[in-house]
Amino acid sequence: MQEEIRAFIFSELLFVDDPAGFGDEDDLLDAGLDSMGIMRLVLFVEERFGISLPDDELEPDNLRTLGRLQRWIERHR
Amino acid sequence: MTLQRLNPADHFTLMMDDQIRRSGLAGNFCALVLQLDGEPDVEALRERARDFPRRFPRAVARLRRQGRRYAWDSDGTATLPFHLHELACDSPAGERQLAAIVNAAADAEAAAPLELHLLRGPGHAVLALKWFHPACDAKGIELVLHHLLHDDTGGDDAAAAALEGLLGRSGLWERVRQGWQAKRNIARLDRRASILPEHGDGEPGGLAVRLERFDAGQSRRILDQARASTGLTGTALYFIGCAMRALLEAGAGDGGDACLVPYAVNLRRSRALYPVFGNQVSFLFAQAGREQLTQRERLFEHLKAQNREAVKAGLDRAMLALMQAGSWLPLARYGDIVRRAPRGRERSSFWFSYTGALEPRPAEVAGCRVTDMYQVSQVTAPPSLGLLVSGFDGRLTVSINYAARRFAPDWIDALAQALRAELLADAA
Repeated sequence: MQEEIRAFIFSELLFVDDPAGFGDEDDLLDAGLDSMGIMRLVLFVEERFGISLPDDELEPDNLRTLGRLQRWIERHR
Repeated sequence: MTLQRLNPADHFTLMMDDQIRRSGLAGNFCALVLQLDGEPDVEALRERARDFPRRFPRAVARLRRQGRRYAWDSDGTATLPFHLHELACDSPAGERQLAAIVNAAADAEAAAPLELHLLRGPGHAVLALKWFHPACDAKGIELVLHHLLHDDTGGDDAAAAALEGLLGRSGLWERVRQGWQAKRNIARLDRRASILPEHGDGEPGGLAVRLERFDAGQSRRILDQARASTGLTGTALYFIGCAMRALLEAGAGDGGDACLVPYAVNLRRSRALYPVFGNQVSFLFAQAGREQLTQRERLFEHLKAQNREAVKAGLDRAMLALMQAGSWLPLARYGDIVRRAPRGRERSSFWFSYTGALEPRPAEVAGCRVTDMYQVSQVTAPPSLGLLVSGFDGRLTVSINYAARRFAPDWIDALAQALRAELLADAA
């Protein structure tokens, strides 16, 4: 799952020079992930993995890094 | 460079160019305006302008008609127009000079995709990048600025074309299905007649621009309000909702049940430096009925839910399929379909664009620091009104673009004041 999400982010949403070097705790928002990108990311996760992520938890704390996103998803699987 | 056909979003903006001209305005010309803290090195800038078409031949291409379609034609040998002006001392005169630049008409097939205008004044200057919208979009012009000032990258990479890539992923029948999905969505929106700004019917009289600037503290407050009202994913929706309410407060025209606002969706990856040319956008609609417009928080919740449903249903991608189909229509017919609901009423209450912070941010322009930035865009008349929101150095600017003779100055004042109050949540 982690690899699929990573591939989606760097192929569709966000340009970085070295996607492989982008760590799980590196900051996606500082790297430039914008509001539309966040929405696409959440919808991708919901659709691809068949889970529902609550709107009221759509906070930077849950989305700032790949690691945090992974942990947020795990809480709702 | 061989002939390169316009992509569906380029063709959409060419259709808008045709509509803008038919209403008596110059055409679909826009400008990215940078204020500089001194007089830049003109020769250095001129040299960069000379070099730019070698890397980006599209910057000096011209439109060529091929039946109902259009293509860019360039051998890359033409030069990028670079105009030097003396900047008028007082601010209103300077604004009139900029208005004259963006109101200068050229036939679509003779129009330069990009022109540089440097206005020099004592101790300061203004650099305006005027562009012809079929050539690129608002994000694209920010990338033009970056590549104009930097050598660190190669030429425009056709393989990075975001829009063509997305279209290429769908087969014919998938695109047909998407096109119908988009058409059904528009038919649903058309059940409610759009609220239009109260404007006169005379000659439009050229584009005028009113700037509403917000200092760093005010801008922070606005973005905090946006976060609180529309969440992480809806900054543009906050501006749209505030503008809808401001429109009603300033005074809307003859009736209408709902505000309907089209807004562009950038299809590039965030922070990507390519593609530069070609419009890489789709669009979505925000619609809110009078009953929703009366309550701020309810309005934002509604716009957020509507946007989420639209993205979830893939409507932004579906609009691409519809634009692709539209590319085969004569421009006038296409324009009529896009602009008017079935009963002939104008569909859009106003045009809107949120470009966010200038990205990448230029450290300097030929030896000068950039002190401010805003965007300008021609509009169709009616609705004769477009709102462009941009940010620079933590400060937001709302550029109110309107057909000069269609609105009374008092009405524009009322709109600007209502918008300020809404954005700062003074009216909440």
